[in-house]
Amino acid sequence: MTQLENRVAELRRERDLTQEELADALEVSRQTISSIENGRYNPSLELAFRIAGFFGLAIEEIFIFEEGEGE
Amino acid sequence: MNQKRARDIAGFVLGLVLVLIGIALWEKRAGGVLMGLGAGLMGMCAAQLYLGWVVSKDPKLAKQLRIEEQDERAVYINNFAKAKAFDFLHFLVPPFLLILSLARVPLWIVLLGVSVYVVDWVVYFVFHVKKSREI
Repeated sequence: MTQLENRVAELRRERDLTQEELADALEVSRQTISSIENGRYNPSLELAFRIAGFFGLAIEEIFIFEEGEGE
Repeated sequence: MNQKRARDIAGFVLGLVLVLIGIALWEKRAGGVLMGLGAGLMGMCAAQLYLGWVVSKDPKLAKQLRIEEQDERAVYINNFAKAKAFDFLHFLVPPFLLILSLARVPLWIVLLGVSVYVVDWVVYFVFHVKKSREI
């Protein structure tokens, strides 16, 4: 079982941004940001890079890939 | 954007021409069909032209519409729904064709249904192969 977690909500709050403002900056819908933050939707690699670029961090500092044990 | 506007204007004019031909052929069956098609085309293109005009006056709305259209989650949801609809259609069509054939409808209607079904699968395989070669 693998899981992709992310720190988008945490980083957004640190910068005192609303979901709407972040969505506007990344040119995606607010629902997309909400879904990414809640882990319901994994962004494409392109959007992940844009998010990383926006926060000035590396992708792996925002998106954390956790590999579980066995099947 | 200008190309889209030109296409909508051309569509509107074509719709108008169809309506006029429809009026000229009013007495015949084709007249009503042409009027219906023309009016539909005119309405669709007029709506697109009006939307384009409204959007050109409001850059914020233009950005919002662009985001809604290109948003990757929205595109994903739309494609997922279309894929499910395709699966459902292909689950639904064979029994429907069987019912048609059992109901002794004219053979050409059954064959038309079968050909639509086959064409749909051909389109699926064409795009499957094309995309497989691309990526």
